[in-house]
Amino acid sequence: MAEQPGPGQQPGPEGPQQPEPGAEQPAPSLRSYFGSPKADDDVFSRLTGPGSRSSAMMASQVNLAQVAAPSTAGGVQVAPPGPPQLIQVPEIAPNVEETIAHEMQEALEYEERRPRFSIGPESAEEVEREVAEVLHQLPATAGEGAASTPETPETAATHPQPDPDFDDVTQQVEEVSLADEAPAPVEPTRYPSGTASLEMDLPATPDDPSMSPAITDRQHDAWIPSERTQAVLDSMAHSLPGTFYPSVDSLTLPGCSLQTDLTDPVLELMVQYMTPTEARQRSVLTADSVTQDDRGIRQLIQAGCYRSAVNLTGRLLTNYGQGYGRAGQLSKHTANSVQLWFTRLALLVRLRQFAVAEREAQAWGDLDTADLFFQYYPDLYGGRRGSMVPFSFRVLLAELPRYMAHYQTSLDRLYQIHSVCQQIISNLVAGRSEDGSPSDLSEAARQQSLTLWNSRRLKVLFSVVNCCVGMKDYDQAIECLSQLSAELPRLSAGLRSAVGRVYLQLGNVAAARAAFASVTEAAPAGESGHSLQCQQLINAALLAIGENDFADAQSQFERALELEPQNAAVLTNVAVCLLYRGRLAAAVTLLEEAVFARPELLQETVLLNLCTLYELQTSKCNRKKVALLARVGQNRGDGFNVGCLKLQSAA
Amino acid sequence: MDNKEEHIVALKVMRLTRPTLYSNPVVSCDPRDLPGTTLSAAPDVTRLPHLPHLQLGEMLLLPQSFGSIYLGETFSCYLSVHNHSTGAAACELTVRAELQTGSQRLTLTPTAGADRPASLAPAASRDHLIQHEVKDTGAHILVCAINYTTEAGVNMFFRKFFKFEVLKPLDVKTKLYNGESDEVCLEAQIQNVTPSAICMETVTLEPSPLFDAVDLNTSAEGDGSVFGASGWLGPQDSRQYLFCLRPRPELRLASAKQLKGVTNMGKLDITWRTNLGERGRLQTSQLQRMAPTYGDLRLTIEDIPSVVALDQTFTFTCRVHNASDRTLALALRLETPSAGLVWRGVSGRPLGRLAAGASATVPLTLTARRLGLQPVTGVRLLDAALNRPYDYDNLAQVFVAAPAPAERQPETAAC
Repeated sequence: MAEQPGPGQQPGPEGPQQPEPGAEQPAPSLRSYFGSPKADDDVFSRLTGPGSRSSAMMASQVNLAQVAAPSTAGGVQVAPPGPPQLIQVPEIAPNVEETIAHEMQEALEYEERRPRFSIGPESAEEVEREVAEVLHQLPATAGEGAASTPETPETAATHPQPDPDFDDVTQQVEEVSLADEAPAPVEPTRYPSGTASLEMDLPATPDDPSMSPAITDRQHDAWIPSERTQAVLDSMAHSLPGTFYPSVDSLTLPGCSLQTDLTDPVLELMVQYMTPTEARQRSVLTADSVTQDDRGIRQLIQAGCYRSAVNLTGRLLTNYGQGYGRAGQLSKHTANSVQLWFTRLALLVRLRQFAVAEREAQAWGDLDTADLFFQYYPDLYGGRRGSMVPFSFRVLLAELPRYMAHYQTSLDRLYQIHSVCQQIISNLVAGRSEDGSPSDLSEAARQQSLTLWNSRRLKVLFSVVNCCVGMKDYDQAIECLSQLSAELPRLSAGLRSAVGRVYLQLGNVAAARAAFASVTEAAPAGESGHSLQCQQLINAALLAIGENDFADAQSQFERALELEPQNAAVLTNVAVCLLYRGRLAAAVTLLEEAVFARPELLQETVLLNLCTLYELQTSKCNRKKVALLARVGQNRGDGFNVGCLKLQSAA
Repeated sequence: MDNKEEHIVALKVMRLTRPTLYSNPVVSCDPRDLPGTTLSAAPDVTRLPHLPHLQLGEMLLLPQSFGSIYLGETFSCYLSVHNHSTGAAACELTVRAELQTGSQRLTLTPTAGADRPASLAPAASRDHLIQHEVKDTGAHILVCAINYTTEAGVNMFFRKFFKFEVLKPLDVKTKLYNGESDEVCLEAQIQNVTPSAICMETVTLEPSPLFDAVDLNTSAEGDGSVFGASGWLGPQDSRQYLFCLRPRPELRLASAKQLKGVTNMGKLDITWRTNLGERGRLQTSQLQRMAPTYGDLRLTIEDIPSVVALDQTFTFTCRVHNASDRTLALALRLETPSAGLVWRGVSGRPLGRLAAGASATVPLTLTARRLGLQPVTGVRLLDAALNRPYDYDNLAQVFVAAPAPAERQPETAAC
């Protein structure tokens, strides 16, 4: 019998006579059976097998090499005098000319390229749906905005200066901390946010005649630089072209830290566990099989090939002189190169390669250097103003430390972004442009920008909630959720349920029950009865688990599943309840059938539950896991986290 | 006897802590950005369709590690016995589970008669849940024993041992104070010594039969608890709970002597919860007080105002109780060591004779001379027969406040 050695099975040859288990037979720890005893660290970070661990080790060696690189290259960094937009990078790219030409081309084409984002029919449909939603909501929002304008003079009165000065900024910061202490019910009235929706920040579609691309750009790119960066930009604008050279330490000088391409872990596991013929059947896109541009990246992401997409961003960034080992060396940013970096880091976070992401994010700091603003490149971008850094990039970098358990750093950065959002909103309310400069915005453009920035501010609040839940600061999480719920009445059923879940995580069953009860009270008229009913059933089920009544929880989940048969989370939860009621076989059957019938359920979290059940059911579960691996191989890209299959990978 | 390779039955064990709510990290992306909608379009069961930016989803994840187990929690375990042979049934199969601690050996009774022999067909499983409230700290060993007979009639037996450590979740420190008038105050400091936050559900005092307990941890404001509504107690954080124990009214006069000897004050009952309502419960042993040492004569206060105005003169009542077995002839002297409260009345007056076990009331009058919390001190009783003094220097405390504004308002109105 091929019992694995871990659990410490004793053959018990002595028969019925009872040996002292502590003495002659050292009892192996149950912990070793279950894995490491840490209760609350990330599941997937622990599940990564030895294979990925070795790649992490490799990455850290790469890091060492990279640390050594700048010191040798230090002497070469002095830029030869020249116009600021042509900081030369002589030694790296042999194809400098080509790169620069390519950049120019890219920048010129940027406007035209951007709106074309539809890839597959599925995503086009998605865009259509979202656009329809926005169109549907816009009139209401405009009405609400107009209704709230009478309150704006009051806000304007507190900021009488035409330019945002230092006092202004500190005042904003104070407001943030106030909002922090109390979930100020005044908040919703401060901003025209009554019907704010998070889906509002879609680009103006070409059908919208009122918004020119330039206005949309300005709205989305707006950012308020720090005083120091503003000073660099000002002195650059006031000096003769070609006579201004910022110091190197006021520039952002990124570089990739991965020397070699990421490989497909699914294929590696297939090679190990399956016959070569079977393994050869895996066919997924790689960086070589798509066009070497943004479109290729989107294709790879669409196919779930996140690792290949990372590899492709690496190649494209090498063209910009920001490839492997280039951190700390001069290169030039374009809107496209910054987007490439955002994509790369977002993918690394998706892949849970947090250490790599953090290393590569280091060069970006708080995304506030002068060379990340369009004004820094007057020749390339004309009069375009604002930051080349997409807003999502700011949020991503702010959230990054929390994945490495540096929660406080994340919170500080998120509140910093939040305060700039508030500053921009108050600028708009006061009739100035987003960055505080005088402007002659049309009312429609101003309202649209207000909606956009308010939705961004709320997104940051969501990130704050996520961070607080991660750091188990449940009080603050509940406070932020209550604030969001007050500002987004349309989503309040979902948000109040989230408050209940936070209480449940903490263990406060009574408070969770009260929060779940408030969902019913809050049920707004517009809420579709169907989804609300489902939400309530799920809430009741979670509460039953809190009371250790898994039979009741199961029946509630099952009723919810009848209402939403496609809800895979509820399906999984039914399986979990079955296990706690001693019905392992039924739990396995339920999950297994679902996974094999619906390939879209071949997701890490679902499979992790299934493989946990497999391991409990029999010690000879590898056959079943390999069957799952085969399905994954057919259906999933290289972004799949194979750790969830709990298959030992070759060291 | 037999070799483990020959077993056709395998046993798997999993500790069932509560499942966790699990979600993947949120990576949001504007449709204007390079990835477009491709990143957000990827299916993710842990994401809520209405709230894509919220990480805290609704999907449950099974426990992935043994975790930590604490005293007072319930140890739940799933035992799965599986016949992995291709054609041979295991007959007369029994499963026994036993928990061994440093001091004792407990037989855990699994659900639904696991000890009843049954036959296990090939590829079939038998599942059992066991539950046990952990009442000891330190090393525990779960012993699972499987007995069965092969089709050839050979008796087979194997055991599995699982060792785990039970840790202390809370640190409880108590202090008991004997107040005057037979009241006893309990101060309990409860510290969370686990590495994560817990939710204190209830902390109650089960008093001994002679006392009533009053919970002093509620406030009229807010949600009723002085600790706030969320119940949250972070790692290493502690809380001070206060209780007041009063003798049951019917016992108070009748058996003063009996009360004096009572040292068992009651037990603290503490329940807490962690992830998704995982519950733990602890009860302290009997809390012991030092027996009060008031000797032959007791002076207790019947009623005294807790707040008086400055310069106000007030009267309160004391009760003198002869706890000795002889008659005492007493005299009362009043001294004023502190200037906060000044006695009014005659010092040195005789109180007359007090028979054994009898008590008498004495009215006393004070004038408040200083603001703040002032002690009532300086009462001296003299037993004339033995010329033995009894000093009472901390009878009670009175808060002297500035005259209430209501009194001053008419004045301003008059002006």
